[in-house]
Amino acid sequence: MLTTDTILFSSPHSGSLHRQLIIRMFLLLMVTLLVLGIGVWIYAQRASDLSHDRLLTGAGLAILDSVREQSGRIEVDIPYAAMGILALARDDKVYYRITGPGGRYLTGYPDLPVRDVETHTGTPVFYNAEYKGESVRIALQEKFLTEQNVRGWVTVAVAQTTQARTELFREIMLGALGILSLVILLALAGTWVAISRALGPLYAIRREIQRREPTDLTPLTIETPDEVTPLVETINMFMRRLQENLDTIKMFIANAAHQIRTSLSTVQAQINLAQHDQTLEQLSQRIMKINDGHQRLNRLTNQLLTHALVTHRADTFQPESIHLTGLLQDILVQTVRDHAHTSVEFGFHNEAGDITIAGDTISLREAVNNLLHNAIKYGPENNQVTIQLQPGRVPENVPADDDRQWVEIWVDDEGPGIPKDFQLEALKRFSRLGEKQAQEHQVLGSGLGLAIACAVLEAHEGRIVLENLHPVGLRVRLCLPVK
Amino acid sequence: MLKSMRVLLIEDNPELAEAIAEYFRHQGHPLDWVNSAEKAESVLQYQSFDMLVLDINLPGKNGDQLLKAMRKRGDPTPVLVLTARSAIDDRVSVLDLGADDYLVKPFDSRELMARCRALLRRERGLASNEIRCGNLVFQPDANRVLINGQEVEFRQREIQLLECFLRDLDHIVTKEKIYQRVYTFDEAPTPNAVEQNVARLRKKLTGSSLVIKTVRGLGYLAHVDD
Repeated sequence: MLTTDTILFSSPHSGSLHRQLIIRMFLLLMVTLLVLGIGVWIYAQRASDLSHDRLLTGAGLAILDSVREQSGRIEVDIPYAAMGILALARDDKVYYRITGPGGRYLTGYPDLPVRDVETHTGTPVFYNAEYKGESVRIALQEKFLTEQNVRGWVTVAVAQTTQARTELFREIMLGALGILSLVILLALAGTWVAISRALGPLYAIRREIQRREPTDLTPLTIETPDEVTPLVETINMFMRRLQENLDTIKMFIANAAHQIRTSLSTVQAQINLAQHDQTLEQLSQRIMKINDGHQRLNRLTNQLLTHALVTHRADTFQPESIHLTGLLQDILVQTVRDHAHTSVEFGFHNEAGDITIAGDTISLREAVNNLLHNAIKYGPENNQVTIQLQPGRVPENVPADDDRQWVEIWVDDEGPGIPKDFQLEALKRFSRLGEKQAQEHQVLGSGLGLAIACAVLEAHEGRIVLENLHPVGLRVRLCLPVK
Repeated sequence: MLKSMRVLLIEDNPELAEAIAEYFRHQGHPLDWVNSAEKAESVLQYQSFDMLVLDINLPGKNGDQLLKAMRKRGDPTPVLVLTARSAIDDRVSVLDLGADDYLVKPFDSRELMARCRALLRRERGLASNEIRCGNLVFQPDANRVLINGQEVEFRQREIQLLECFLRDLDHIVTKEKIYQRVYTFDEAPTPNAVEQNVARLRKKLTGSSLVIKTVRGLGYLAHVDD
């Protein structure tokens, strides 16, 4: 049954796809920005160091060049050009210090921090240091003097404050970062547009479904890209199934209503007649008819509810293991007990041995119960009703790769059977043999018994087969896969 | 025994309760009716009954709660449960809770009466010195069987067979069980002999309320049709 509770559900919500994609893209681009930023930072550092270090080297070389030996003494004549190069960086200050062999101080700023250089390779050494409260870059260069009186390494340290070089570093850094940010912004904007366009068809489907009447279950006819077409096809298939189910339910309700109203009217009519009955004999006959009509209504109501029950359970049951012999014997004993006062004979025959299947006990019990009920109702007074458990043949129209074992429950009676042409029809809801046969046997079925069995077998992936027996009787075979 | 039984009916629908009460009184069985589990509890404190007929779906305290409480304090009074719910689900749980039998609404008053009688028979069982099944009376101590008040001659073996069936009313009695209970080791009866004995017993029971049905492939089932 549909109730408002089941309609007003909310689906599990995993957030906006659009927002998720944008956030992920943004995070990815941020990581890219960070990695490139580090790269640019290293590059800018190197570029600014390299260009300014060259100037320092030039100045240092010019000074070393002017180192001479004059009568046993070392003389230095600081060339103007050397300092001129460094003066290109106008705001920076320049310091120098020259030491002779053995680290003897010759000229310049004596407290300029000079590292001990043991390498003596002749290549310049660069390092950063702190001098007079400012950070400076120092280039250390050496030259080996081999004069007659003086032998040894002369070291020149040239230092320059780092303002110009920091300026250059910042310039390179900011320029590169600016361009990077612009590219990333463009990428984000592009992603935004692309996602919006990609999700467009989904919004279109939503709009289309929203604007429909609740009863409109015709297929969607939106033009969609290849990726979304399967979704639309699935929705259409789902709506088609829904429509079919609705049609079946409508027909079922119409049939059920017809049957219930007819039975109720019959009873009502008999009651009305009873009010005018004159003799006690008339009245007691009337009451018997009312009782019959009431029994039919009982049976009909029970079967309608059972049908609803097994249909519902078909969707929801958890398979449990069922010991078939035990279940069938239990059902049979109940039936024998209920019909002990009649002359109907019962039998049980097991050819399949101890078999356990996976299924729903409650539904299976209802299916077999209904078949037994039918067998008794449509059979003669001295009916012989037998339940058999048989090793199953694999039914027709089962896929070839299905290698499951099958088992069959047979319910046999000695009734008139069902004409071959009518057997398929008989499995449907509310189909019954003509009134003639019904009158012949003084019974009126609700026409739901076989349909209930059919629904149960369907839920168990089984088959139901009707066979007429010779000379008389009907055999209903329930073929079940053993899982 | 079973001449009259005192029944407490717990049912919230007054029309149904009145109809049942009228039927029971008509049959000579006094029936008390309460419409809730709470009232039933207070009545049960100072009165005892032969059996309870309990509607499981009651306003306020539910029928199964009453049943559970009764069994918890060791009250052995037989309980027959009435249920209108889609039967089968309740069936198991109700019996698990300690009910002795159940009946699904809608039911026939005659069916209810028969079930009550069967329950009481089962309850008192073979312990009493007179077993009454409808119009059949069996006196185990005297080995006497009366049908419709008339004494019928039974042979010793037939008496044993009858006792065997009465012990397991409404259940399958297999031939193996009959061998064990009715025959001694050295007699070694053939299945044929059992069948002949049952046939003879059945013939003598003609006209009584006790029916012995053959269920081919399983055995026999005895049922009291009253």
